Amino acid sequence: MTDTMHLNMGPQHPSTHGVLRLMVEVDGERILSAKPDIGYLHRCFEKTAEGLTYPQVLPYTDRTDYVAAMTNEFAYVLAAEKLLGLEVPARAQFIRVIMAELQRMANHLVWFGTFALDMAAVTPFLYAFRDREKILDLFERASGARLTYSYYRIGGVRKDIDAEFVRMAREFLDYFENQVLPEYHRLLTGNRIFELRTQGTGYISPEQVFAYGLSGPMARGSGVAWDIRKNEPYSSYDRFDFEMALATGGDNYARYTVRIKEMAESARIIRQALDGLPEGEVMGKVPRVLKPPAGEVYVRIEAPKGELGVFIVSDGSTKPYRLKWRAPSFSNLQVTEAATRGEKVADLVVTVGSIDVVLGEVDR
Amino acid sequence: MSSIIADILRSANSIVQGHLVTIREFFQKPVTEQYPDERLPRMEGYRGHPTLLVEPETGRPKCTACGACARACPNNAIELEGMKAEDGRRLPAKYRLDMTRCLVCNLCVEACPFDALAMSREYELVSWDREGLILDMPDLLRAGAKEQGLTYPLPVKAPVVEKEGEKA
Ligand code: SF4
Ligand code: SF4
Repeated sequence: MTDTMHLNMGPQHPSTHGVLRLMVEVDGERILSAKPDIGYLHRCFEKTAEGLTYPQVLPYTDRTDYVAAMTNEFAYVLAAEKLLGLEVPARAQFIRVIMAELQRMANHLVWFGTFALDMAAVTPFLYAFRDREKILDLFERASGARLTYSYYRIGGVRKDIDAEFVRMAREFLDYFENQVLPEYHRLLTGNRIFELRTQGTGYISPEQVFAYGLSGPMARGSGVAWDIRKNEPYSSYDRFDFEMALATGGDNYARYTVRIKEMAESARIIRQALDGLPEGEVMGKVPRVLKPPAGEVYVRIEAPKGELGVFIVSDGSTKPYRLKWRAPSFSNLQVTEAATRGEKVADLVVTVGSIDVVLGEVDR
Repeated sequence: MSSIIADILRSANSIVQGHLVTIREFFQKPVTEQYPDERLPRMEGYRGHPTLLVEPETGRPKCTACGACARACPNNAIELEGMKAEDGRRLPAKYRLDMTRCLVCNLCVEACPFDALAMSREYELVSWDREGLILDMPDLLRAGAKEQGLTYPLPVKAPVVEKEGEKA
């Protein structure tokens, strides 16, 4: 009987993401258990929201998953609009989809870079950030900010996009499809070392997907065909033609292929939305004071990391009585222990990387 | 045995492929900028911090101290007091923006019924201490005038703003 060793990975470990702490028990190189310990970035977002009016909550949603701020706002405004029974003009709906898909690409680029970095490949990280910068330029053009956009509004979006934005977006999509994706495939997809590190590690079965409530690329990597954009189309997603990225491997490599494919599909959606962009207003008719009737709503969208749900209880006042944020990485992080048990320590870093956690969202 | 050799060759090839991608970059223009020697131009509509705009004719703030911005702010970053000027127009006596709290969310600008606020295009919003991040009315007017292409204080003879007035 050998002694087992307890290892603390994080919260200041360079290869964990953000301030995640993993309490790992190892027997030599084998992992016996890996328990995530969270809460280092807790900022009482849900409680704070109870003291704010409906429009005031919006800038705070940016700061939950700060790598994908646009989709957070998307989920929140959809929930508030459902509660208030507001109509959103068609142009605003299309702009929202464009921004959400650009955000998905930006999010997956960050993920792509850090995932490769977890395997000590530094170059893809720099390339991914070079290309993400172009998306941030687009966001800056549209919203005026590069990280916390505060762009969506209850009833529409803050500002219309102009012809220059459309030109820049098309230019970026051409660049992305013709240059970036082939380059990434040459760098990583066929790389033998990358394959050896990712294929067969961090296996998650379809049963585990349901048992742990996984969503997004985590579910689709295990062959579970669940994409809210397809299964329950919201906003104007039913008007676009795209494929659900799916892989059946269930390992880290499968999740990698899902995300790479998703970026290409996002580019397709953005092209269609730019082509079919309707004319008109970007802000619907919104009362000056937002006072929804008493009741409750739950709205979920397909955020880059998975199912992002917003549950709001209204007591008929101008402030939400209760707001619950169902963060995808919070649920996805639970599977860490099951996916890494029995594997080597070095694979733990890769598997945790493949979950795509942002601690701002986990802790809220 | 042959599969092992094939695997080794494939591994070697993937390293070569990776290096070919990076070597190509040697012959391309670097994408990095040497900040602070080089500065990227800001996009149109970039949001820095909220500023107070001035009336070009009188040099007074456009603000009427109605308080709508302070009520719209999610973080209570704006603190203001009003007063009456000699000609009866309401003006802010005190207007303070606490940048340590500001989220740069633009909600105050949208709430202002007099279009008296605008976001600056400043992005170097740093200070050595907390006090430097608390912006008072002259700071905000100076920044606002800069956005309008003016210099504050304006050379026009304005009705005295600092004079003791009626409190709101
Ligand atoms: S930008 Fe937002 S946080 Fe800052 S002062 Fe205006 S409303 Fe308040
Ligand atoms: S909303 Fe406009 S006019 Fe009213 S106090 Fe604020 S800046 Fe002044």
